[in-house]
Amino acid sequence: MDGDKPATPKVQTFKCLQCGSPISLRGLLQTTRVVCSRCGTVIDISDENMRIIGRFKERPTVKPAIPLGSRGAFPDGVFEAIGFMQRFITVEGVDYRWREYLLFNPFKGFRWLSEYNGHWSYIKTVMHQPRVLHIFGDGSITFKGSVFRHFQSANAKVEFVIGEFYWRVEAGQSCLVQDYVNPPQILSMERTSNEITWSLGEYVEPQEIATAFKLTTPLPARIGVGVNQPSPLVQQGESLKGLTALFLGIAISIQLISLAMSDNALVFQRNFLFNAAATEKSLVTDLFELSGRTSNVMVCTKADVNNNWLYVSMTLINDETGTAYDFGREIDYYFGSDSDGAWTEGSQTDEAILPAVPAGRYYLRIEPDGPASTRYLVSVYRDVPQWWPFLITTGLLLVLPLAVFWRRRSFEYQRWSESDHPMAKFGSGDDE
Amino acid sequence: MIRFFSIFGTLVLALFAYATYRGTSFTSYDEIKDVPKSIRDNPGVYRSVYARYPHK
Repeated sequence: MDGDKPATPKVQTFKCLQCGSPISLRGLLQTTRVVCSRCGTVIDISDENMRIIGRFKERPTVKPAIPLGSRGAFPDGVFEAIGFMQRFITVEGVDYRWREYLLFNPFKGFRWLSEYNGHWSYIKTVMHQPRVLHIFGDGSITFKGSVFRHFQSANAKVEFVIGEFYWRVEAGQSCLVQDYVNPPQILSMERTSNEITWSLGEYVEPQEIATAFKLTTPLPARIGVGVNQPSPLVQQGESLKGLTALFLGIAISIQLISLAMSDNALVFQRNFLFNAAATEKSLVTDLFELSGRTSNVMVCTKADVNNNWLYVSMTLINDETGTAYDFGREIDYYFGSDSDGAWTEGSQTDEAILPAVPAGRYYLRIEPDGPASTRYLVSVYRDVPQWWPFLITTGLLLVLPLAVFWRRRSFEYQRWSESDHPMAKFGSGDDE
Repeated sequence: MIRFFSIFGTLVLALFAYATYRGTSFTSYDEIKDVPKSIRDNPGVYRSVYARYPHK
């Protein structure tokens, strides 16, 4: 018989020695103990003379989301749910409970399904011994070439149990549990006084569990982020990282080419004196040549203003076409001192950049205004390299990657919040 | 999301390349066509919209 097909039912039935409820045995000869789902009585069936060996103090109050006896199809075979238990750990006075389902296939053996806060893992016992890593300093381990980071160590106790088990399950039974994660996998070690067991779990979407067991009742709703839940943004984040690097590389190349190719040529420079008492203040400059392709023009004005201002209305006029670029600039510079010490405000220098000015012969019409006569220097530069378009481009290209990074980090922050190694929040400077 | 970012990034880079080539600026200015030739001889005939005239 193929192990991938449902096992032929070989169910033995007997009555509970305590309450008389029917109890089914599905684990064949591997079952050693069975717990009555009605009264919680633990019955030892390892020998022919069945006997009661204990009873859970509290009757089971949690109904398994997967009914015992139901079968589920998994990639490595069809397994039947034969046992259910709830365990808990206590951390800082708070109990954290999770549920485990023992699955059985007569040809494949046992598997576990673990459910915590609606997050499911499909678990298989492994024989391979992981190796401790010291580089992280948190007890992380490697298993078959993958690094698993230590998540939590705690003493787990059995709260209640129903169904069959292949070991001597008892109420209050405890063991040390250590979890290591490498999403979507989780590696768990359980140590009792006489044995150490390692098991490897894989995160399973709740919908897959419902489909595998053909469940009609809804599974527990997912709460928060599962211990080994894969981040939905990991794949996208990696692709985004490569694309962002490519785009930034192109942007840097464009900027470097721009810096290298720009003329940044001084095409006109002259000192002027603004006479506040003059009747006609406007003047024109000599003609100057703007050559090359259509590019920008920077008009730089430096005025000897001290605790004063100068307003300059300027017009860059193409002498051949009559096209004019009209703009106004204010230069003000104030300084002094007060109880906080010396202060300054404004600047004696101003730079105005006109975009996309075609080549040609130009002159400036300048009309200054101000409260006092002032000397000022006007310089005109052609094809000036700029940094702000590059900075804006870089900012725009980083918005989405940073948002994804923030969401990924937020996801991991939630994951690790219940671990022994919680992540620090942004800006706390105490990251793990 | 990758498709969106590919298109978005390409557009941003194209815009950046164009702005870098042509020159761009936040300077507020007006472009006026066919200003009179007489400005060269008599600058006072032109009145800029950016000129500041004192209130009297």
